[in-house]
Amino acid sequence: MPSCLVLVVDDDPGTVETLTDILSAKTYRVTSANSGDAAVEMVRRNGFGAVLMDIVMPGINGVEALKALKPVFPPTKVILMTAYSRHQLVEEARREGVLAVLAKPLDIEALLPLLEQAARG
Amino acid sequence: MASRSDLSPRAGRRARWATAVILAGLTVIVLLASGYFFVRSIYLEEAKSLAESEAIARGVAAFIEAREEGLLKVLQSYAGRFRFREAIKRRNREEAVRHLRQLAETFPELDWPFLTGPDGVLWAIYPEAPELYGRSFAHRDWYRGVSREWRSYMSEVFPAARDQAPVVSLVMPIRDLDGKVIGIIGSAQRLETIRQWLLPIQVPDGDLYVVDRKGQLVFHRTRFGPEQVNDYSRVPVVERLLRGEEGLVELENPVEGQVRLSAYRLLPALGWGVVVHREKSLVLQRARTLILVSGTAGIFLAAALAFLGGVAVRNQRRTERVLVALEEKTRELEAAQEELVRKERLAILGQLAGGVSHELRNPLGVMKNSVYYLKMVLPEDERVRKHLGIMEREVTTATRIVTDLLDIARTKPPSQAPTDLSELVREVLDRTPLAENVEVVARLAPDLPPVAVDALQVQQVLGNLITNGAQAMPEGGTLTIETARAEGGARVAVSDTGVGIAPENLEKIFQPLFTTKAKGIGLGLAVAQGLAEANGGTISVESAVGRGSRFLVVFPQKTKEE
Repeated sequence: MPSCLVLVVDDDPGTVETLTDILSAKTYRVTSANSGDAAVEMVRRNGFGAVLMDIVMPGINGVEALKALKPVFPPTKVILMTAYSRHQLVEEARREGVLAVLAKPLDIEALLPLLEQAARG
Repeated sequence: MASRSDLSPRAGRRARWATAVILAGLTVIVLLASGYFFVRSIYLEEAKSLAESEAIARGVAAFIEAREEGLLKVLQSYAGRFRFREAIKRRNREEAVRHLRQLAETFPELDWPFLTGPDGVLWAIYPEAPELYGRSFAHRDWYRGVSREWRSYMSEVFPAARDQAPVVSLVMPIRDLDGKVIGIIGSAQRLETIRQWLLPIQVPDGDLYVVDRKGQLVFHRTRFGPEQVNDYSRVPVVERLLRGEEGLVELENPVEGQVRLSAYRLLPALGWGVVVHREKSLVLQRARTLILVSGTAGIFLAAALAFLGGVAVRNQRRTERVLVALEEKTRELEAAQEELVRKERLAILGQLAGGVSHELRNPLGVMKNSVYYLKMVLPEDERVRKHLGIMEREVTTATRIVTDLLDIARTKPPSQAPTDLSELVREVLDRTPLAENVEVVARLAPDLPPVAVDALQVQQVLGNLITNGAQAMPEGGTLTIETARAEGGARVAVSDTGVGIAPENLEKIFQPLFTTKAKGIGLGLAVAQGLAEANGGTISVESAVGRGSRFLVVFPQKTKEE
């Protein structure tokens, strides 16, 4: 059931690295990007089943990237992460059909079922 | 604060008392001065009246004596006339009457001039009265008077033999060249004559009268004529005159029934006395008027002073009220300023927290991920697991601090629902780890009315209070959590037996970033207060150093109607 393609997007390399390792250990196929633009480009090319993306990033933010992703590869499920407890972008993301918005630091035990849900399509 | 105590009600009362005492003092001074003035003016008025009376009495006495002396001199000059004396010696009535007639016509005040022998037998009188000739008048007072030492004499009052009109007689002996008494010349003097002399003399507020040597009236303005009572010998002041005294006296006149201020003087040459009397009530009328006017003025003055004092006191009271109101406003302003400072602090903290929390949450997240990963991949080594556990716990603590910072910066609007406070306490106690030396006593009321609060936020409030209470007892102790009904809702009290809070810190403990702990940044109670208030509750504290603290949170049953 894993083996689903997961794209981890964050401008913070530590986050990208640790999440990649954890999800890989959980047998997901994980690729990473460090910006929204890069993420959109990678989805266009590879069509990821799930995208785990930070909201606040340099360049386009997570919500803008989410909006850009939908026409590119509609089946992709997006999970957003944020270090802010309340952000107007969160509301916007919900309207754009985000699967979930998780607070940083991430509760991995809460993330895993969501990824499973995304993998199942 | 020192300046405030000057404005205290006690200081105000002191000032009012001082004003009242000054007013009372002024009134007493005014009254004393008025009283002294009254007594003094009465005394002076009396003295003045008596002095005036005495002067009038002297004047009247001198006047009467001068007139009578003048008449006596006239008689003397006639008695000294050679031809007249010859006629007397020879008892030549015709010649004698001619002289008497001349005397009477020249000096009309000498009524009925007459001649008697040394034995008092009348032998000549003008106008002539033959029926009287040969009659002896030796029984008359005037004869006894003149014959006593053969000197001139003014008689007492008696009714004239001719027409019964009251008269006095002025008589003197006539001597020949050898000095031998050859006869007596006299003149009846109608009291009416003396009356005409004295009527023009006016005594203000009173009058005068003249008595003879027996106390019979010689002159009285209203009592005259034979039908009038003219015996004044029982009048006290006349009694004094009859004893040969002179002076001033305040006496009641039994005849007139008035209290009189009288001056009485003797007329030694005539043996008469003059009394000048003034009615005391009339004399003092002016003084009384003066007293009335000055007393009224004094009372008005006192009233004016009292009024001014009252105005002063009222102004003072008004000023006090204004000052109290001002103090109130100052306190409100200070409170508002403190609140503003608190808000400003919170705002700055919010900005700082917003920035810092993002920056910290990322590394914390990374650490947490790493721990998770290591737990996942590392073999089952107990020591490794312990240290990973420590890291995970510390990351969680750090995360909570960051979350608190964010909560302070921006309290989320509570999503309120009916909640059982006792149940919330139970949940919080279940998941809040406490040191082993802290004994927890929970007295949770089973039937609390549900309060309308955000359960998660109130759990955070309770968690913060419980953690705080436990931290206040480093040496261990008892943490008591009680819930109970409160007016309009429910309350929870968290008490510890710890170190307590110094009084000077009691007001500051809810301020963000205020802490007395070596560890901690001073957000727990600030967050608790912020969240309690956001849920319509209040939080308060009482504490005793060395005995512990008690935090009380009260929540209303319903939220305010919106």
